[in-house]
Order: sequence, then structure tokens, then C-alpha cells
Amino acid sequence: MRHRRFYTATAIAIAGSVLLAGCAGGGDAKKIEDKSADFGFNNEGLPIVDDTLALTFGGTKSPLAPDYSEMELVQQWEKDTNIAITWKNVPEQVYAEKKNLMLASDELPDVLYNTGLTDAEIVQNGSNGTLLPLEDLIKEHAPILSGILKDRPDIRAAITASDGHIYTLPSVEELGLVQYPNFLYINTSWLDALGLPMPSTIEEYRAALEAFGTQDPNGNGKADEIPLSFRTDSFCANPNDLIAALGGQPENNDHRIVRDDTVEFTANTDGYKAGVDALGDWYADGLIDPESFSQDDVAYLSKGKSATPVLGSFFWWELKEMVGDDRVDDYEMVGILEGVDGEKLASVANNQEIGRGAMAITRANEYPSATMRWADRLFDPVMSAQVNWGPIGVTLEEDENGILQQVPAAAGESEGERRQKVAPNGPKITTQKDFETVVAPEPRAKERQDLVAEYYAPHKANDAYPPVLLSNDELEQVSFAATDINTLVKEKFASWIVNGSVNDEWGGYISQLESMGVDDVIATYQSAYDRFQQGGK
Amino acid sequence: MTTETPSRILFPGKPASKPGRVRSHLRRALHSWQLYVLLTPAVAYIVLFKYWPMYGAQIAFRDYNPADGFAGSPWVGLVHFIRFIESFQFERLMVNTLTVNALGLLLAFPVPIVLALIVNQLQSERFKKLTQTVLYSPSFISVVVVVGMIHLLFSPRSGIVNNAIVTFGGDPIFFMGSPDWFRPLYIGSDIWQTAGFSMIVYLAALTAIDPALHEAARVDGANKWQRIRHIDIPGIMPVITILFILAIGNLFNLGFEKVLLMQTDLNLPTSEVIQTYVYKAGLQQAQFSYSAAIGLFNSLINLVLLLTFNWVARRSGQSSLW
Amino acid sequence: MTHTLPTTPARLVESSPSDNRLLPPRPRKRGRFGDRFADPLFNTIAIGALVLAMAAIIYPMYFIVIASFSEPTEILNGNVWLWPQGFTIEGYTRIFSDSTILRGFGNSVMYTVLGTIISVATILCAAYALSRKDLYGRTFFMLLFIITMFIDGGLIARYLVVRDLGMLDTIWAVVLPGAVGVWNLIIARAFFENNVPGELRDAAQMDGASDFRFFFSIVLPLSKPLIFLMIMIHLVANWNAFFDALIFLDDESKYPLQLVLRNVLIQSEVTSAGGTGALDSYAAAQRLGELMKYGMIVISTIPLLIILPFMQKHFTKGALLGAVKS
Repeated sequence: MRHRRFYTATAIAIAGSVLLAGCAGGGDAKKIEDKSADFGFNNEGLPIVDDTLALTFGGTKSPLAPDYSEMELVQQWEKDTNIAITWKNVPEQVYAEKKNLMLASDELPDVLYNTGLTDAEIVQNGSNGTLLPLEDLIKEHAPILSGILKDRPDIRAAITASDGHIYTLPSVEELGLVQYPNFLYINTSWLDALGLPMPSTIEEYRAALEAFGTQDPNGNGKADEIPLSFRTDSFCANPNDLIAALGGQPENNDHRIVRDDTVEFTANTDGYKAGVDALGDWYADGLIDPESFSQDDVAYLSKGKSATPVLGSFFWWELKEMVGDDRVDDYEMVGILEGVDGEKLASVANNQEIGRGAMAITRANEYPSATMRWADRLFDPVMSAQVNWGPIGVTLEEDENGILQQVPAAAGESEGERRQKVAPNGPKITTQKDFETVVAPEPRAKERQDLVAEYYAPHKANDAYPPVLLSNDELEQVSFAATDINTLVKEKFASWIVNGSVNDEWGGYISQLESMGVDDVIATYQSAYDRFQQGGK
Repeated sequence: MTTETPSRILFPGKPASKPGRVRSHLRRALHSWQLYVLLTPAVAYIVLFKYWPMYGAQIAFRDYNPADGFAGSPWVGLVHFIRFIESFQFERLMVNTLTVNALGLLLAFPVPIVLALIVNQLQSERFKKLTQTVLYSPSFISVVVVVGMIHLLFSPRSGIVNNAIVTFGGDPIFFMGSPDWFRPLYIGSDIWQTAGFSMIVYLAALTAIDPALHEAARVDGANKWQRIRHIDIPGIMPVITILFILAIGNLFNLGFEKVLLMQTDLNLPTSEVIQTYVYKAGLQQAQFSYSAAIGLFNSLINLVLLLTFNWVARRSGQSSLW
Repeated sequence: MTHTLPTTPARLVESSPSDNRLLPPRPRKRGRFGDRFADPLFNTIAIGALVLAMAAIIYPMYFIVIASFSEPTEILNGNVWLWPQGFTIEGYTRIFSDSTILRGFGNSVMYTVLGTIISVATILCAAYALSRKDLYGRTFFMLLFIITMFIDGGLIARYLVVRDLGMLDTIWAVVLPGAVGVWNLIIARAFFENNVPGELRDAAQMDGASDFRFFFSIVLPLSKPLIFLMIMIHLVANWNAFFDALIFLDDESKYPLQLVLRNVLIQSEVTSAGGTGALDSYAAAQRLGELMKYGMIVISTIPLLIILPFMQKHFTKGALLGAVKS
């Protein structure tokens, strides 16, 4: 009796939940009819529309930025174009939670500005009609952008999906820095104290680290020195160049490089194995900070600023951030070391200078022509500079050669902070050429460019994987396998260095990678790469 | 004020004869209509905020695409479930998730009970209040900070724990980089953070025990140990049973944020659990459906466990959830 | 209200089978084993264990306080043990310089109070009804609740429902969607089941009390420990909640304190998106974020640490049956 009641109750409850499941609202792709003309749309010149046109923009903004409608630059745009924008941009961390809700609940703004969309989301929402295809609009209403894309087919290729459509507008900033983020520095005051030369080969470097660890260079009588520290999943603290020097093969965070138009997986080769094996020896000899495999950025950055100096050598893209103002002179850049086979290999990261998701027009937008004309203005090099750094007169000013220079920040405010308050970011293109003829790089960016040119670029060992927009199918195939593969590689890399067990486990690792489908993944990337190269011609 | 219906006393809940069953059910239900009124807000709540959104669970069986909505996305059946079960990580995820949780349950479950029994016996009201406040205060701290402190305190170079080990002549231990230490640290910090607050539940149960029982036992010469054993523990046993069943029904759920924060490349062999895997897989691509399927799979295991243990508890004469 | 049924509880207690407990306490038998040896042993062990447990808790708590006044570099290099090192109040300055903190505090108080009232009232009523073994359909209702612990429609569906109910961007979206925790409901029900003797209700019914009257006039006043347990659980949970607010609120002036604090923290941790321009702020921002993290814990915890001890006085021994007797 009790049992029967129980089952009846279960059945009723489950039936209830199924009934309630009912049906949900679905979206239907409606055909957009361009109504720009209703507001007196002008094909050329300003204003873009004669009657004020109101649009809603959504997306991300910097947490320090005010509501965009309060920005001087944005107000100027409204005055010029007669398009009045209601901005709903929110900080990225807030947006991340709301983005999918927005896309799923059909409450789309007219435009996504700083879209925060991943490649997968661009492709998915492009193919399902949430984002409008832009290529025809660009051809008709975006003369500036069209001109740039004609000169720079690689930018066009980067924003074109595999179905041939362009769903998002680009954001490009070609400073030439992101390819080499992992700068290697060493404590030269310790080298001097121990009478050692600046290392130029990997053996000399190792000898220096050994001396740091054993000869008490900070002179406090304690063996508290950390000869070498790094991180394994940071954007600028990875020991890739050491693996390259020790294994004779370039390496980057994705374990995916391009050489001679061939896409290669790096983490299953003998070179990689040799590199990891050697680092395992280093670890066993106490040269590597054990916390290299557990620390976060904050903990890592504090090591250079301990009361007694303890840090011998480290990877970071900026010296001062790591060691603080007082010790900048104690360290110097090592750059690329001569490897075991006598070559200098500078590994190139896959970081991209061409960003895809700067802006998109959604199917909620009834005025795509006017919107595209509005967007096109931002691609003018001078306007792009202002989008990026802030308006002329506030953060930028023309020097005697007509080149825009940074206005030094007022006391108590950093340039980075000021920039976030006055520059809306978004669609923009500042090419390498523009950095010579239109706007000068910020002083610190210039410094870094010089370092790259002196220490890294001459030894470039591979090409970066280009910013290809994979298709839906490709993404699905790649991303499932990639989660497993990356976890395995990361985990084994750390444990092999710490336990020195690479030789015992290598065979099993290789076969596991194979069964995870690493070959298929690389083949997919290769075909996408080939497509990109063709699209670029 | 309503007048009392005499039928309450006349119908002490005995099953009616067969022909009159439906009617008598209805009568019984009608009779206690006030109880249904009391129940209504809560039922309205779960129907609105739990059952209504439940149609969303169907995305586990579909290839969810936000623009097509729930019903419009293509139906793919069990594809996502099969993909998960066949994935390389599956065995490890199941083992890790279950091990951490089962160990955690065994070790952490008794702690708040013991604390409550001890605190309940304290004579000084002020000391009692102080201990309660102190013991539950860690539950206000966010997980991020707790994990940050674990990293600090157990750091191989500068952590206080390793300093102590070295002082006593040991070798420093790289706690966060060792798969063997993940579970002790996770469970230990969990006890540290939550035991005090769970203690409050047992304490509330203990206060409901008639002090006269203690008084009588004391008169009979029972010491505190005996009184705890024969009065306190039996008194809160129903609550212990209920909480235990609920905990069992949660055996495959782990605070994913904390595990994720405690993960390092080196402790992944023990620290990769279902929830972190879902997070990582979902992050790669907006794989709503895949994550939903794993979540549902997880829930079903939990539900089975809960039903089983509830059944066992009821068979053994303990309290049950229904 | 209770005075209308003056005799019932007493009669009930007298009629319960087990005891002599209403007899005046007999003089203690002195010199029994229990008092001479076992109890002091218990006291020593108990107090020893508690002191150890408290030390294990107090030190890390203390550490958070001194860390909030210390230079993050010093903390991370292991120099902060007993006193703040590199004393600074920059974290607090930064937190309090945000004008929205006070408003967030006000919102949080409002959400917490309203949310707690709704939750506790709903849970107590439902739990009592479900504790009644004579409730027809009890198993069905329990299952209805328990199923919701395991099947979840997911965030998107929940968002759509809240939108369709017209609650987006209102206080209701914060206090209602998470109001009834089934876990708490089951705890409350277990308390009623075990601590409201069936005889008490029979007696009340004999006196002509309806279910409402019995519940509100007798059960509730006798269930103070339970009520305060529920209040405590919900106060803490509501005070610390931020996710629903994050999802359902757009208007920043409605943000609760936790969300405001979170945004302040995010602002300080602003990082330039890899590789370009604002190089200068990354390390500085990381440092400030670290500093504020501890300060925020201190600030958001203090209100609870002040209020909760006041609630504890209701956890006095035998509150339920003790009240029956008096």
C-alpha cells in the first residue's frame, strides 16, 4: 500500500513536470527591410540621417568607463551623424553572465559594440540569423573600410566566416608586440657579484642559475634564492623559449605552430620531449621554483619585490611590473639563448593583432545602412586612434610633423586609467604604417617594440597560426578534443618536470594523444589555414 | 476563529472501506483545508520558479541554439550523454568526484555533531555564545579568499605550515603541487569553513530536548558522557538521519568554484571533477547542451542515491524524507 | 493568544508517559562516579577541543584583518604573521571612495530583511503542513519538492520565466526566485515532526482549536529555536547572495552591497586586453585587487558578526518543551 502510493505520487509528480515543460518561444529569422530612408538617409556626407535616428547599442566597456553617452568623443559622433545612441554597455565580467541570456531571450540591442563574442558565438549567431551579414553593406556604405580591406586581404580573410559572410567588424592594432610576450630577464647584479658573464647560451644560463642557487648571491646566509620562476598558463610568463633552446623546436601556449605553411602540433615530438626532460633535470637540481606550477599572477609578481631580493631569473613582458621601481637596474633582458644545437629560436605566440568581435549588427536593427555608415567613420586612421586612446585634445595631440602623440597623464592618474575613461574602444584599424604616419605608439609600447626588434624578431623560428575563423563544424570537432588534449598536455608537462618521469610515461602519453584525435585536430587546423591563405590572395 | 469539526476526532485517519475510499480521501483532504492553505505559498513558489523553468532541461537532449529557442533547437536524443560517458575523462571524473565527496562526508559529517554536543554541555552562557560566534564566522568568508589563504599558508617557501615543518627538521612539502594533498586540503578547509554553521542546526535540535530529562538523568547519577550518549544523541538522531540522507543525495555535487581555484597543473590527477570539467568544456564553446546533459546525468545519480538511502533509512526504522 | 488555552500544554505534559520530570528535583547524590571523575574529564576534553578549534579558526580570521591593512607583496612573501606589514589603508580608501557603497548597503538590508521574512514564513508554514502525518497527499507534495533539488531548468529558462512574470529589474527578482530552499524545508519539517508531540495537537483539537490556530498560537511560539535557526540561515544566505541580482537587475542603483563590492573589485583589477597600450596598470591593479579582497571580507562580514550573536540567546536549552511547562 505504501509502495503503491509512493509510485503513484512519483508518477504524478513526473507527469506534472513534463506537462509544465510545455513549449517555449522560438526565434524566427525575419527578413530585414532597411528603413534608413524613413529618417532621411544620406548616402554621402554628414549628417548620416536628416531626422534624428535612435539606436540601442549593447556590449562590454571598461569597468572604469562612464556611460558612453557621457564621453566627449561619443557626443561628438552624435552631433556629426544625427544618430542618437542609447548605450547599454556593461563591464566584461557582468556582460559575460548576461550575454547568453540576451542572445537567448530575444532582447537584442540594434548593435553589439565591443561584442565580447567568441569565434564560436560569431559563427553560431551569424549562421542562425541573429547577426546580419555585413559584406554587402560594407561594399555599399563603408568606403573607408572597403579601401582598407582591399589593401589588406588578410584582414578581410580574418573576419570572413567559412560561409563567405562577414558578421563582425574588426579591431586592429599592429604594434608587433603580442607575438613575443615572454621576455626573459636575469639578475645582473647577482651575475656581477658572482663574477659571471651575461649568459648567451643555454649552458651558460644553466650555470648561472646553479650559481644563484648555491652561492648565496644576496648574501644573507640563507639559501632563499629562487634561481628561476615562471608560470604555465599566463599570457607572458611561459618558458616556451627555454623548451625551444633545450629541445630545438619552437613552442607556444597552444602547442600549435606554423612552419613553411604546415601546421604542427608541438607537444608530441622528440624535441618537446628533450626540452621537458632537460627542464626536469633543472628542477631536480633546484633551479626551478616549485610554485611555477601553482602560483597566480599576483603571487608571481610579488616574488620580485620581496624585502630581500630572492629572484634570479624570470619571464614577464615588463621588467618594472615584476621587480618594482627600485630594482629595475639590477636586471637585464636575456632574450633568446643559443640552444643545445647551436641555434637561437624565438618562439612566436599565436596571439592576434586582428580582433574580430569589435562590432556586429543584429537582426533587431531596422537601419543597417545608416548603421554601417556610422561605423565606417571609425575606420578613418585618425578616428581609429581616437577610438583607441581618446579624443584629440584630451589624450592625443598633433606634433610638428602632424603625428598624434600621447598627452602625458596628469599627476595621480596613469595613462592606462585615463584611456579607459575617455576612449570607447570598438571598431578601429591602426596598421603598422599608421603607427609611422598617423599616431605614435605610446612610449612604453615603443620601448617594447625596440626590445622585440633587438632581442626576438631576428631569431623568429616559426609563424603564428593566423586568425582564421573556423566553421561551426570545425569548431565543434576541435573544441571537444582540445579540452582533453590541453588538459593532458598541461598536466603531464608539470608532472614530468617535477617528477622527472617523462621517459617512463612518454609512450602512453603519445598513444593517449592519438586516441584523443590530435591528428584530426591538426588536420582541421591545416585545412582552415589553407582556406585562410587562399582567402588572402 | 473556526469552530472545530468533530469529525477530526471521529476520523482518526483509519483507511476507509473500499467503496467509500475516493469520497473519504476527498473528505480527509477537505477536512484539513487549512493545512493546504499553509502549503499553498510554497507550492506556488516551486511551480513558478522550479517547474515552469524545467522545460529548459530539455536542452540536454537537443543541440541548443539560443536563436531557435528551446523547442526550436534540433532534437539529438542521448548524443550528449553518450559523448560524456565515452569521453576519456569519464572514469577519472567519476572516481575523483565520488572519492572527494565520500571521504568528505565521512570525515566532515560528524564534526559539527561533536561540536554541537560539546557546546551544548557548556555551563557558561557567555563562553557558549563566544564559541558559537567564533565557530561559524568562517562561513562568511568567500571561497576565493579561503583558497587564497590555503595557497599562502601552505606555500612551500613562505607558508607558515612549511616553516613549522622545517623548524622541526622536516623537508618542506609542496602541498598545492601534489595530487596526494588535494583531498586532505579540500576536505580540511571545508570542515574549517562549514562545520561551525552546520553545528547551529544540531544545536537548535539539541535545545528542543527537555532539560528535565537531563535533570532526571543527573539525579540518577549519569555523567555527561552517559547523558550525551543516552539523551542527546537519540534526541537529535532524526535530524542527523535527515541531514545524512540529504548529504548522500548530494554525493556527486562539489563546490566547483573551490575545486577550480585549488587546481594546479600538478594536482589534476585528483582534482579534476565532473563540475570543473563541465565548466571547462562549456568555456571552450557555448556548449549549453553538453553541460546541461552532464548536469542532468549528475542529478540522476544523486536522485538514485537519495532514493536508495531514504529507503534504507525507512526500512531500518529511522526517519525518512517522506 | 495562548492564554485562551491555558491548561492544554500542562495537561499534555502530565499525560505523557515517560516521567517523573515534573517532580521537584531530588537532592543530588554526591560522590557518584559521574561527578567526581567523568565530568571533569569531559569538561577538560571539551574545553580543550573547543579552544583548539577556536584557535584554528581565529588565527586565519585575524589574518584576514591584518592582511587587509598590509602591503600585498609582504603578505605574499610570507612576512605577515602577527602584525600588518607595510601598513596601508589604501584598500579601504578605495572601497569607501566609491559612492555607491552606501546605497548598496541600504539595498542589501532591504533585500535581506524582505527576503528573509518571505523565506522563513513560507518555509515554516509549508514545513508544518508537511510535518502532519494526516496531511492527505503528503508523499506527493514531498516528492514535488524533492524533485526540484535534482532537476533544474537552467539559467536561461529561469531568466525567461522571471522576465515573463514581469519581475526583471525589480526587487522581486532578487527576493523571490531563491526564496524556498528545499533543504531548509526538510530541516524545518523534521523539527516539527520530532518536537511537536501528536498528543499536543489532539489535546488542542479537543479544545476546539483549528489547524491555523494551533499552528500560529501554539506551535510557532514553541518553536523559537527553529525559527531563529531559519532566520539565521536566511539572513546569512541573503546577505551574501549576489548572483540573482547580477542576472536580473540592470539598474545599478538597485545593486546589493555584494554586487557593488564585486564591481569595485573588478574596477581595480582592470587589465588591458593583452599586448597593447595600458601596460602600466596591470601589476598595480593586481596589487590593489589583492588589498581590497581582504578589506571587502571585513566590511561585508561585520554587520553579520554584530547581529548574529543577538540571535543566539534564543538557543537556550529546552526552549521548546521548557516553554510548554511554564
